[in-house]
Amino acid sequence: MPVLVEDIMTRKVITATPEHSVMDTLKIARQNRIRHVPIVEGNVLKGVVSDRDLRDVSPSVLASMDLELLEKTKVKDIMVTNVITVHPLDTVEDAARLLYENKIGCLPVVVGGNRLVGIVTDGDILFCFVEMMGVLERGSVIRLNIPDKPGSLMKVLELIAKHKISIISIFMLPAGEKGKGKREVTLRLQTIDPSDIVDDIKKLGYEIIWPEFWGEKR
Amino acid sequence: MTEKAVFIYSDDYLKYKFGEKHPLNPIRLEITYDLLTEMGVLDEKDIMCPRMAKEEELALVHSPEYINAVVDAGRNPNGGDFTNFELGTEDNPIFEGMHEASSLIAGGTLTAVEAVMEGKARHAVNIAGGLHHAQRDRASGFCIYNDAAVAIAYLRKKYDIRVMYIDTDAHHGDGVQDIFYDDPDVLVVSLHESGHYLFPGTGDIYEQGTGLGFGSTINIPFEPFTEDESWISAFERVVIPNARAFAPHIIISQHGCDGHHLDPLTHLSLTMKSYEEIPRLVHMLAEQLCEGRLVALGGGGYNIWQVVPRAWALLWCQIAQRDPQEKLPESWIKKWESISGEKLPQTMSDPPDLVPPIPRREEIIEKNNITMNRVLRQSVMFF
Ligand SMILES: [Zn+2]
Repeated sequence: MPVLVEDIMTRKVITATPEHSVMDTLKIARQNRIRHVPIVEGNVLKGVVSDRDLRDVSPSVLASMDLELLEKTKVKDIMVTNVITVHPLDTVEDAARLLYENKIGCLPVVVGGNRLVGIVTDGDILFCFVEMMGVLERGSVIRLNIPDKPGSLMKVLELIAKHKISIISIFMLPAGEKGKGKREVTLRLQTIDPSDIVDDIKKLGYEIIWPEFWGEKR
Repeated sequence: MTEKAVFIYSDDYLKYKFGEKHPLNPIRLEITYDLLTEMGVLDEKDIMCPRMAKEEELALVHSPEYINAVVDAGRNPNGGDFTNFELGTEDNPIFEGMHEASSLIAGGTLTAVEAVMEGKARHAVNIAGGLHHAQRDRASGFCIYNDAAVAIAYLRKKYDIRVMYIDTDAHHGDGVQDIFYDDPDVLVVSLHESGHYLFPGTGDIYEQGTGLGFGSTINIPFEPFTEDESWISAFERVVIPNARAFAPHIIISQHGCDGHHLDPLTHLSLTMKSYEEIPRLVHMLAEQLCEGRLVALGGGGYNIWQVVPRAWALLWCQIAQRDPQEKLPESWIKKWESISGEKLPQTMSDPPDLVPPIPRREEIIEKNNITMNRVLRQSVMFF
């Protein structure tokens, strides 16, 4: 399971230089189907332009029908210079939080303060979570609330082991506002029929959210 | 060509049995057979005995290592660890004679296919078949050999014809999908409860095939608590136009009835209405597109008293064009009530208030409609 930025980052980064025109940079972005272009001198990161920055230049140009402006304007005049970056050894969670909190779509990965070694985008992070959820393996899902105290998850795991059923993935949410004193756990189990396990979990006194929620069925 | 429909059946089918407490209880086949006989819609001359599938036929879809494992495990049930092949798990326990029992079911589906292709029957029904989860190299979800896939591979090899596979089990038909994922001449269509919670978890609309087979896999995943209306309209809106565009030479259909509201393993809210309507539509398609060539299989179905016998009796009646009586035979009810200790249904259809009002019903219908529209938009580009 990838946990570090270096596990999921793209190493071959498509870049432009500060002296490139906006037009050329637009072309680079379009041809490579990327939304963010790091701007480098050598391998030193100088800034980033996003598709949004590039688009912001375009409408005024289109209005004046002066395509020359796109040719004349240099990237260094429109790029964002106070770039938020990550380190290859940062965790994927760190990267996800930075993207979310700053409402941005990519994070250049740098070492030594400014040397570009990779890039991580929101798409990379999403793919990583899809993999972590284990949806690529065959199984059934159950969701339950367990008491927020040591050993309660262990009881569930022991019970599943007793049924000789493998666990494909397991998620535990932090105790939320509404669920003080309990934690929600989602398990993907390698079986077509989790009903015996569900019954055993109920015997522990734990609350099953799925397959019971939405009402009354069975 | 003959107008006949045949029913593939043998008492030896009951040997495909994982154990007393296992949800897949083969007695469901016997109860169904008995219901059809008591209803007077099935007699000796409709029945054809299944043959055994040969190992080389199984090998059309299964790896030799896996077949050997099934043979070995079935000879000596306590003799080793076969969990690499997902044998000996809680889902797929090893039982004596496992290879022979599974080969008879696969052979039954081959018997059905041969009867139809050789003109001995217009349609054939094998309710023991439809073991759609079995994979190339391992067992899965109560399925040892994938009889549907073996039969499709046999048809492809022997006749090189276009085959349409229609799967209306509550679970995604993942085994069949995976085996023909790159074959443009096998159109695999599966209607199922979404894999969000339910086994196996696959069957999203984005699974469309690969390579030359891109576009020849169609998945329609439904929300939990989906009712008849969405289920049947998906067939009319998505399955029928795709069938017409594909123009198959034969249809193989899987009729798992575990999407019924009373099934203990899934979360759909279908009633007997779906199990009457789906076979009718499948039969109509076969008549319109394939000169009648149709092989209909069973599949999942874990409410063996209230649901399975009625659903598969309707399947046979629709396909063989027999008249299903609304009132079930007294003798059948008495016999099986005394054996099961359960209350058996009195009528073929379900009472109108079987499914309690479902919270979020409108949202579920809306989401299902969005799914169907997406699938349609994806599939029309291959017409
Ligand atoms: Zn099923």
